[in-house]
Amino acid sequence: MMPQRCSFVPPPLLEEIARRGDDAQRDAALRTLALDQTVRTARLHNLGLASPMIDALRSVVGPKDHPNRTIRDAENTRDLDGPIVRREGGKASGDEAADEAYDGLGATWELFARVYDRNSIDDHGLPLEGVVHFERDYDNAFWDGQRMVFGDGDGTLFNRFTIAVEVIGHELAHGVTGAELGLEYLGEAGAINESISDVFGSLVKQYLNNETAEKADWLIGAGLLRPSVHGVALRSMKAPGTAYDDPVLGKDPQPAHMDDFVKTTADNGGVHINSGIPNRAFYLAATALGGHAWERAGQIWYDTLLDPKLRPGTKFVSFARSTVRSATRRFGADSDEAGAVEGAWDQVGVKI
Amino acid sequence: MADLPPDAPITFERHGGFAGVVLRTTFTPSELTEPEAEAIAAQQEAARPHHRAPQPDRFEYHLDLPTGRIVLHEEDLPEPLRPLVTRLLERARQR
Repeated sequence: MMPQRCSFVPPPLLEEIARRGDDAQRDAALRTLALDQTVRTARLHNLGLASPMIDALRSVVGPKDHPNRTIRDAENTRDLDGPIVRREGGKASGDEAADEAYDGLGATWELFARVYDRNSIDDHGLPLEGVVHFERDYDNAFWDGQRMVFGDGDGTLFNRFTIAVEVIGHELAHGVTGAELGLEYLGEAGAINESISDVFGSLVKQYLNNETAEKADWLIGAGLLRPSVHGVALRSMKAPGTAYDDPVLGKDPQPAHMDDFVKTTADNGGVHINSGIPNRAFYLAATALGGHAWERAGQIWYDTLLDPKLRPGTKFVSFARSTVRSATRRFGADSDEAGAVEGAWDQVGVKI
Repeated sequence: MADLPPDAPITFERHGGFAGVVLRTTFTPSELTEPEAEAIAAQQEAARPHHRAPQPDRFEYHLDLPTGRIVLHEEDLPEPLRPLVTRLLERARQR
């Protein structure tokens, strides 16, 4: 299953227009494709378009020196096309959630651009759109295939979902994963999808705070839980299964090792549960290497995101092997980096 | 819902979302409005619920009836069931 995307004009038709239409039609089609799902843009390249068309496409996508952010206000409805409350370069709106979303999208764009030389979600400067104040008492944030959507929380268990920058990084990373790997959101592939988002969400926070792997808290959703909830965050990459233990929420169900892998049909096969295993593998690799996690461990995971051998239904073992290949390719087979990654997977029970 | 006694226990669970935490509560058919009861009955009768590829971090709702489980994805939640889900979530959050 591919991530769901909605569009009035089917992508193949847009691509046909881009190939065969007159100048005006081609321009319109390219603009739509550029503003729409990134996979379409990649497909366009793969079609082997003539270079003038590639240049035309590049001319309508974003610049590489800064993001292109737009924040909308859903005004506590399900309308994703609510009023724009902040645009790129505009002054702070005064709306806490809108400004946090703007800043968080900027911090995430910075990490991918400055560290991994990636220009936005699609590497072609895709504009970043965030929607805040979605629904009422909505305790969630999600990526709908085109934009990041944030709720205000219910005020009882959860604060607003823009409060933690790793949440914003997590959602944008779903866009990157969708553009590069198109991982199924189901079972082990879905758990890898979730873990990749947690990894880059945490790296956004660490990069923003200039923290080393040793100093980082490795928590996902710190500050999201209301004071009455017994817990420190939603997930711990360092110690999966220990983030909360609360009478209403129950106990953090994440396993830290394959011996405790949870078989369930709920949550698309436990995508938010079993992600604890690859999350801890990343933490172990990063702390074994030390220093800034985004530099070596993060680079290896990013390289893995670009691995054409990974399939949409990939399992933990295939993903783990790909991380080792990435480490070997970049740092050498006998490098500390390759050893740290291999050792990390071994410690969580994923046998390569 | 006509085949269920008014006091038959039904368990409601919310799974997934970014948080991935489970919220749970129970209710009975007697608490349902007519449109809600009809919407649940329609879901029961559906041979196989329509299910698109899920979007990351969306919610999944489970209704466990004596006759079986209904799984609803947030993106596909029937409009008549939204007030019910809102009421049940308020109840599930109570300490």
